[in-house]
Amino acid sequence: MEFAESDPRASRSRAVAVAPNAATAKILVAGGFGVGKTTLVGAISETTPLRTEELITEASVGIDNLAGVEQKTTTTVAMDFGRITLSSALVVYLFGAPGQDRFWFMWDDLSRGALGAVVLADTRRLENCFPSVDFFEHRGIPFAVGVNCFNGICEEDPEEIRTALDLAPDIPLVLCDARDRESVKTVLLALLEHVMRGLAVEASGDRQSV
Amino acid sequence: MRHWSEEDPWEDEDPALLVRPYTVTGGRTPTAHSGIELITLISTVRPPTRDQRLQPEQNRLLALCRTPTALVEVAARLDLPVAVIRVLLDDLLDNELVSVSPPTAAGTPDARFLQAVIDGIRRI
Repeated sequence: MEFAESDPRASRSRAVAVAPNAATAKILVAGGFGVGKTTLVGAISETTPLRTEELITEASVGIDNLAGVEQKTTTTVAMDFGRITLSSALVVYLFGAPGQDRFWFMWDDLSRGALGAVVLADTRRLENCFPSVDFFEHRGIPFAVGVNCFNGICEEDPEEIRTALDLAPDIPLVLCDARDRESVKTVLLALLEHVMRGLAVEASGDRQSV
Repeated sequence: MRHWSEEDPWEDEDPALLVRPYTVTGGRTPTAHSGIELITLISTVRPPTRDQRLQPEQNRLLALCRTPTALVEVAARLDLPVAVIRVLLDDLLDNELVSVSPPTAAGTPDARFLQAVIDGIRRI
């Protein structure tokens, strides 16, 4: 299939008709609660971020003492997402992963088949993005860190942020403004190029092992 | 905002909110077409025939998916959980009223696909 069909009208409002057999890709946007995940999605999505609310049944433990009786509660988890139609044959969806720690189990589902993830960080609450960094590191999902600062101006030294997050040297760290479309593009491209380098390394590793 | 005493407890702006998900699905859970992912595109193939009695939600889905639409977006636009949409889709797929896009490759993406995404994002 030809993915790279060019049409400038494909930008904001999906003037391009998408083919029923178009390929779709998924990129996650993670980070602490209130860091600007939905803002980032909205800055680049051709639609206002959409929200779906999923009913999740959680087994609750230790709520009461009815020994042997499994207690279940139903919770609603909201997921925000946006869409970028790149051509009639290729559509990218951006998912803002639920920020609360207790919904980690949803991330496994969300990250299946994802190209990679952007971890959005706020220097005033840097520790809030630690769980996201941990999650993607442990599961071997490629990610890039976007440090959200107004107008891309940041008082912190990016290298200090890298040290504070204990990031491997190959993980991209980009200063960005989650409200700004061009800035968000820079973060996404940093991620995707990182994924591409990973593929190249993997391929050369395969050749060496043969 | 009205005082609570002026509100009619039986009135609801969106009657769909009064309907429990298991009512929409007739108590069924999705089984048959499990390869459908959040970003799988759903496309309407043809309108239902007269003797195919569909639920209102299924008709709304068919109207929406005249433009190919991802499962997650169908859920958001119809204001129903993804799990409910999956159940509604089972019938529609069995009756060949909708088609779904091929599943995304699991695991590592191929370089050509990735490059198409990179080029596309550079261009927008």
